[in-house]
Amino acid sequence: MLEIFTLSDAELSAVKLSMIVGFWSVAASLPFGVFFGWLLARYDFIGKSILDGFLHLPLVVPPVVTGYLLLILFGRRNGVFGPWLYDTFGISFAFNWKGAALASAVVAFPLMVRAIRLSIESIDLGLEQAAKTLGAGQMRIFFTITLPLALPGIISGIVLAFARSLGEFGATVTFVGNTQGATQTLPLALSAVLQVPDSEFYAARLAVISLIIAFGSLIVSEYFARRSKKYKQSGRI
Amino acid sequence: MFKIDVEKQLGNILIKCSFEMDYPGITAICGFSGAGKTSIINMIAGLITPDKGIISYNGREFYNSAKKINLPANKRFTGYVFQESRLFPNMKVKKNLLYGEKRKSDASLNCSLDDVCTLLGISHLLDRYPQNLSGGEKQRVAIGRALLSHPEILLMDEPLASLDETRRSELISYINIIQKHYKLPILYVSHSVDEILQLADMALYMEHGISKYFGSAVDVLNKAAVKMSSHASYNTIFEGEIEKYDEESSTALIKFGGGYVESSCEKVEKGRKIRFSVNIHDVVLSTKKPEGISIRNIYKGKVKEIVQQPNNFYDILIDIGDEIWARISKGAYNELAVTENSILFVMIKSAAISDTLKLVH
Repeated sequence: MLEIFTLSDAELSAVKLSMIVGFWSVAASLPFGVFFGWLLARYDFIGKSILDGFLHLPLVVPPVVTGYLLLILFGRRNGVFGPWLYDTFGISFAFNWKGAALASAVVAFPLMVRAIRLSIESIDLGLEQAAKTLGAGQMRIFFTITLPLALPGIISGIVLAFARSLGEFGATVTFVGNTQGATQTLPLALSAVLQVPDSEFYAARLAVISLIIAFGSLIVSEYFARRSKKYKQSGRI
Repeated sequence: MFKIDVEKQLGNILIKCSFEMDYPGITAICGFSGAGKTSIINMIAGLITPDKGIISYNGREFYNSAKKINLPANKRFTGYVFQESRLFPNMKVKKNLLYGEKRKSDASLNCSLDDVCTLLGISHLLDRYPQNLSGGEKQRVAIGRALLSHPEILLMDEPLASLDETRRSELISYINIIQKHYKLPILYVSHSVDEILQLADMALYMEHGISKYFGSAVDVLNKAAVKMSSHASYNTIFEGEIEKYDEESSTALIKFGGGYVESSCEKVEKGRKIRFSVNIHDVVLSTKKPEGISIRNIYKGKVKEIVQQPNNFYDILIDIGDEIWARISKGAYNELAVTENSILFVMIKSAAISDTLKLVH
């Protein structure tokens, strides 16, 4: 009976890798997500709709295309930035978890920016004005008013992006391939298992693990979305 | 000395405002909604930028288009109390109050958290979140927060607009207390004649974005009242002083520009400054001195101006020492044969005044 819960090394490594990839893709893209969310929520500028469209691109483009474009940009040997990144910083995305994290980050980025942007937009501009008349500069206003009030939205953006990166398949497999222990996250492992005859049990188990993690993320996200609503109400009289 | 002379195109309305004042009390900015009152104090606070002109306070230039000076809002030392309290929902009252505390200039207001809390009666609220305050409490905290940012001048944008009647008069006395205690100049935006009568000494009247009259609050309100009328009724406002109070009949004798007026009211001490208003419909005119009549307040005066209103009414301005408006029908107008400079007797019923009495701080 207990065997059902005993994961094989390959499965364990897939779960672990998924977590690492999810964590780093979110952690690395978060500052950019906050920046673009804030920029789009608070400023009007020339080319805003183009930037907005560009940021949303990974949401509508087939992930395989995204992976292909990443290959062109960050390929270690022939990519546009790949050789430079390797020579200057020693960073390589080729066939390792960093590449998987990059692919996940790019695909999940629109979701993150969207959640952050919406929560910043819902903050009453009057509060920032009031802070200004009280002597606060831009930076202080951002860190004491905007950021804390947008926090529930930022957290829900984090959770959404994390969940999306857990499910990322197309861009990752195109960009960094499907190597156990290096780039094989949960969905990739599931896909690999399905190629093997008589492995329905393992496939189902991986699917259930994915489901549990995704469902958990959604619940957490929903919780923070509710808190965000409460804040919004109290922000106005 | 505060000086403003600015222009700003806002949508299809041109805001044009210019006045100077050197007055440490409360100055009202009044006018209809859409007259540009809030835009003016937003320009003073630095929340919107004028197209051209100057704004300066005590020699410090906030804005000067010719010299390309535009001080950012956070460096102007203008406290601002908004119509909605705009308290920060993520901070407790105490943190809200102390948000602007670090800022200080040589000329800025010196006050401590303890003093402000005592004066405004908010000491017991310090550990609460703004969500858990009533409307009146929120506004008091907002006033305290503005004071504790050590401003050199305080701007208030209809701070009572979202409150009910009781809270409103409560807050009016708090504002008076604050002003008296700190001697801080206050610019107070309002369209409520009642509020202005109870608070302001000076007033600026705005119309369609343009500053029209500036002067003592009573004068400005009287001038504005005629403007604001078409066939609607309006009041003439007077300022006077309690001369005598008769406890037996609960009647006060008020001395004003036209002489004395009697009105029943609650007990007031002699010498209190008081404002009252007389509706144009409550004034009776006569060409001869009336005798054997119940009205006690009778004044002799000279007609200064006659305005024909739509639907056959005439508004007559009579100088009885102070100026007073009266409205009469066309028939009465013809019978009395009123012309400019003709002498008339003006009668005011005491009962018409008693409801309008407003003590001034």
